[in-house]
Amino acid sequence: MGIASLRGGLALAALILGFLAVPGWAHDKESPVGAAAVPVQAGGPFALIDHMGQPVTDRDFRGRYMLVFFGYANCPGICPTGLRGMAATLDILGPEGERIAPILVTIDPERDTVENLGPAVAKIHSRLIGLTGTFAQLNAAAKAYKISAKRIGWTLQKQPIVQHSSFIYLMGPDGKLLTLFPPIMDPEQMAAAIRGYMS
Amino acid sequence: MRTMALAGFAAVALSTAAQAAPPERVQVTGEIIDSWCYLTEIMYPEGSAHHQCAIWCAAGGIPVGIKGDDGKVYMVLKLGADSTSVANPGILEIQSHKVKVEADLYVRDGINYLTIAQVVNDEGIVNLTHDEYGIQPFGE
Repeated sequence: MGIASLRGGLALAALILGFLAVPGWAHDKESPVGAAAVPVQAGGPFALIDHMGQPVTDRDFRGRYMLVFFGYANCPGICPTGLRGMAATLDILGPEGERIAPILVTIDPERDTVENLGPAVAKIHSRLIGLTGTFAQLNAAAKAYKISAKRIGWTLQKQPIVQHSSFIYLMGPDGKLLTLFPPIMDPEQMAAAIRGYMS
Repeated sequence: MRTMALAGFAAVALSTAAQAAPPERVQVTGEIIDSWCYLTEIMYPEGSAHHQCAIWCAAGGIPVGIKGDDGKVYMVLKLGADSTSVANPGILEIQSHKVKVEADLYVRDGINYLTIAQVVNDEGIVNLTHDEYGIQPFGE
């Protein structure tokens, strides 16, 4: 089921509130010789509309790093956690973070219109870029990033429950995937990792 | 909150693909967990007491993990032939189960990622914690 099937609204029935700084996942075994290859292949061209109403493509971000998250502005669960984590990471990076374009690509274009996205992303971080578009455009972007979104039920409040991918992608200046981060990753840890890729 | 050291991060964080190592094929035995609640201990993080929450969290897109018998936590990226969902929230049916999986292990940025080729063994929910918390874990 694609994004087009999510008409009628999205609501995430996650149970957790607020931003959480989660320490890093254990890695106490002997380190392999170098980090493993990126475990997924994701990323590619997209043509969308930003929260200012301007058309943008992936090529507009060439020369900059991108932190890309697929979600939706009114998501009460994993989306704000991932997005706030991205925001905190940018703040930790300080001036270095200026080289990064933090991006939210919506999976709810019916609600995340140009008019709605601007105020929503501004609440999270002043530099967060909200991207929306037609269902076809967003489906293409989601396909490129191997994002799945599927409505699987309804809450007691008659809101749809949607499962969707929630990893954060770090894309390089050439637009290619450098790595991915769990949305619950500690911002300090994420910032340290990003510095490693940017150095 | 659990504290998990980011051991050797600086040593393993690499910036070029040329330095990347291939994944290691491993077998991991452990409990399927909801990574958020486990790490934050917001709710009863393990076993049958957490079964319903774990399903909802996974359904919402919160990454699913495995708490290995080896003491490590693994992040599940894929299960089987699933090729469209990087976050793989679709493994609801085995939430809270004790499983043995065969998988490729990618250690990257201090995180253990698994792409699971197959579930070798599924013991179901064996960590029965619901009585301890007075929880009805499986609905009416």
